[in-house]
Amino acid sequence: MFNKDGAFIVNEKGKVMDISGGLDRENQNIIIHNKHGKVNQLFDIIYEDEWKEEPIKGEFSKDFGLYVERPFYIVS
Amino acid sequence: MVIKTRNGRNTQLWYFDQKSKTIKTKLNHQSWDIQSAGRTNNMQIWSTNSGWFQIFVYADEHFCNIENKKCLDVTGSKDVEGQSVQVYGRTNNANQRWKIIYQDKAEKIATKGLDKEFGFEINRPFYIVSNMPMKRVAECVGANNMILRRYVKNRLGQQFYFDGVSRTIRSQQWKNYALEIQSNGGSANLRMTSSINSRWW
Repeated sequence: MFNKDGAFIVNEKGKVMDISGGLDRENQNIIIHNKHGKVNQLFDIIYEDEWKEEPIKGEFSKDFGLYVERPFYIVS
Repeated sequence: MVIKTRNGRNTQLWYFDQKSKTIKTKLNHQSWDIQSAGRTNNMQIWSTNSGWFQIFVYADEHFCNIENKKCLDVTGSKDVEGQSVQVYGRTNNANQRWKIIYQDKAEKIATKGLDKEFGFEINRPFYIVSNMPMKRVAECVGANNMILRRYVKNRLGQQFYFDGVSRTIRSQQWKNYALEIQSNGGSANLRMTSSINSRWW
């Protein structure tokens, strides 16, 4: 049994859902681990009916602060 | 007899039968019974015979047998799914205290809305999204281990929901499977299991 506690998914023994080794890559195992609070233990619960598709070409990416596939200069 | 999370089934519903003076199950209308005609502490459901070992009185939050005065007791005071219920000498402890909630007064089991204790919306599909840069999501592959994958639209293996009855996280793809820590919590592996017992792991 698991609770949502902020960005942690935690069980009653205090262990939390954890991306093994902190590696953000395809097929990486998700395990249970002692809580340390690093980003590999932080998750958002996004309900399916509130899921926002990733921005496509020409749309602004809020996460990265840039427009997708819109060429730009970096001007000093 | 064991304790379990309320699930609305007849295995958890009882009634007092005036004719036999026993407490019966709605499942098959047999009676509470102290095993071996009262010579043990084990509770069972048995054919009704109205022996003293089948007759209990409810008072002051206790179910006490009319003859040996032993009370209905959660064995070892362990408040866990599937824990056995026995009879035992009165201690007045919480594991011997019971409240009666009549079916017509019982709150309906919630089928939607926020479960405040667990922090999830009941029966509302969700993704578990990593806060790491690629924002990958959890996916259960083949109703087995949980892995990290890129989001794929409408892939049910990446969708989960919170079941308000068992209070477990279920897979949208394999709805009879719940998230658990492998080896009864003794492993680091997270996986989906069809043996859903609502235990801490």
